[in-house]
Amino acid sequence: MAQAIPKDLVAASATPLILSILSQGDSYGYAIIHQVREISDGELEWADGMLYPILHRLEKKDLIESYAGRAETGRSRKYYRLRPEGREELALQRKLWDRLHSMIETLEGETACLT
Amino acid sequence: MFDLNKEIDQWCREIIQHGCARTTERNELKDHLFCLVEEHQARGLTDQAAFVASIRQMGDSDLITAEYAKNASLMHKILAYDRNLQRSLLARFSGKQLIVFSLIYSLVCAGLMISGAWWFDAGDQLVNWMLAIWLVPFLLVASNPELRKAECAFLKQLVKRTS
Repeated sequence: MAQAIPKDLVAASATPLILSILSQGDSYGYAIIHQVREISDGELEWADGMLYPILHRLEKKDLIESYAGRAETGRSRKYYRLRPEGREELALQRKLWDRLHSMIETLEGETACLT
Repeated sequence: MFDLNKEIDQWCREIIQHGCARTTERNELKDHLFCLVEEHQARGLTDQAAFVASIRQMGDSDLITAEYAKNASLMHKILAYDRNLQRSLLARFSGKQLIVFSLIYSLVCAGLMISGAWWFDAGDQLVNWMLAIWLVPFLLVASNPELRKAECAFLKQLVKRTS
């Protein structure tokens, strides 16, 4: 069975993941959670209720914006879309994660040379 | 009998405690809960079992409330504090006792305000602060339906006795 991703890493990856999902198209909370679960094969465990405060913070920072819509059932639903500022933030976050990844790779290479 | 709509509404209200202006946030949370409940119902769970499973999936309610509170504006934080204060006061004292305390508090504050303004020639700012403090018990009483009812009954009684 795959190992669950630690909580601190889950928290750190929340913003780039949400921005990435919204870069593919407008979405809403439940669908975002579903998509995260699918792409991570269940390794990334988000408590559903914790997603919304993060979305609201991103909205406050003007990275995303929301609009009212309706579900197929007729229920009112809040949708989110990525703003240009969010797209810029996503590019920056990608660079940072790539940089971290390459740092770990470099260190691993050095360790392999030493042994 | 288990009322799914009522339970979902109640849960969302408890999570988002900071003010009544946040209906969009509450509706958003309700929509999510309904989606989860429908998912569990499709697997054959009853309304109640689906609700319990969905709540578990939502996560620790205290943590969610704390996260929502982080985003709240100062006014919403004050309102949430006021509501929590009401709950803890109501748990300790009766409605009548609280109204008597509030009246005494208001009279003392009013006295301090008048004496500060007239006798010691205090500045406007101090008077404004005193006025704000003076309003606290009224805010406490007025925003709680239970206390409001008790206050009306108490004042009626007071008027009857004095007249």
